[in-house]
Amino acid sequence: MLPKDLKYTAEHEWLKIEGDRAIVGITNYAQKELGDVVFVDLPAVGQRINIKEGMATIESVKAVSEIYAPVNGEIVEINDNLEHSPEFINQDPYGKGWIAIVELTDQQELDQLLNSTTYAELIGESK
Amino acid sequence: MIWRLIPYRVADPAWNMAVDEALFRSYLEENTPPVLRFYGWSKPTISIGYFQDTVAEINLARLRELDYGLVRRTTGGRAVLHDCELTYAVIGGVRSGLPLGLMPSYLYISHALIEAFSELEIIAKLHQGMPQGKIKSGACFDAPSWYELMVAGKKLVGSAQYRQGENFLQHGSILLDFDAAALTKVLNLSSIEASEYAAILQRKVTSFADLGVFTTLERMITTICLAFQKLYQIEFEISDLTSGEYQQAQELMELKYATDNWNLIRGNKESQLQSFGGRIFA
Repeated sequence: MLPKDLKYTAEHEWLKIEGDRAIVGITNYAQKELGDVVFVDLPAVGQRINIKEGMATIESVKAVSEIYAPVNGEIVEINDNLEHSPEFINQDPYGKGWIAIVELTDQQELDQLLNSTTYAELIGESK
Repeated sequence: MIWRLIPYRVADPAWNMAVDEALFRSYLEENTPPVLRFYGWSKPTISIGYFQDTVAEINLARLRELDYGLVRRTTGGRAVLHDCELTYAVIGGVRSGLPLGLMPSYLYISHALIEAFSELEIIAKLHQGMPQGKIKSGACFDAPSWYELMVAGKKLVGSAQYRQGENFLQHGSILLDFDAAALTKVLNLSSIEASEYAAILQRKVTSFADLGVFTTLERMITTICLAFQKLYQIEFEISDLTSGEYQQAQELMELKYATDNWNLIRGNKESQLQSFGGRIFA
């Protein structure tokens, strides 16, 4: 089940909006697609991120995958637990598997994100 | 569907990886159709996975003694000794009609290789499970994962991907021969561990030579291309790098793949790095 209070992207990321910040992670669909995550390369706190450019890198058993920044902004916090426990992304993608907190440059960008219904349709889970 | 076939060349490790990334970037910029590239290595080379800790896992002094090359891949996975093998790279994505998703894209390529190998009288099957438990070793070939090609329960081809969205670069090593001891002696293992691990690898890995199949590289490449053509109606246009791709590959080689900064430090930012003299592994 997709959490209804989150926003989503077509690149299979989720965002939890809290004021002018967003917690970012990858969706359950994405973690299943990647398989067991074995390493996560996190962005640096203070790093500027640009929409659709690489923000983090995840290695699963079969692939290294770039995670795109879903919004423009600045990284204000990272989940450094993932360095030692990358499996959190598989076990709890919407909770302990969060990747970073971003301070948003422009709140209006959020209008481009998908809600849970639209994202469910995208991944074929709308029933 | 039109694909591009980059002619087989033997080149040094940094150049090989730089060309693959240059072609991948070219594909992202929609300057090329999907690419199939075959290549060889100017000397035996250890390639390590994107996230691997080179200094911890590879015996660099031994590597130097043996005059082996070393390069870090952009793709995932673990250490591979490129020696008696045919290496391939496939670059493509959903926009060119390749399947959506990681596993379907592996499956797509694996099916073509199975078809090709059957023409060479090797009956390969897909492994349909993930490695059990945590990754225990630095070597790629000791644990088959989804859709790896197996013959009689042993791995014949190792592969790994790098993905940006629904575009991917897949590296693969088709083993013509396999010497487990040659690999384990350049891993950071004691001599007892190395010989035990070599024995394990020897039980888990096979090669064309093990299977008694000896063919030319030219025939193998042709057979693989024909298999893609038969299964997916792909027509290959043979072309070398464009001048833009060549220039990009030059830059990537000089600034990334031939540098200790990429080959030794990436993924191990805090390690006590000794100086290995810049480009000695290029």
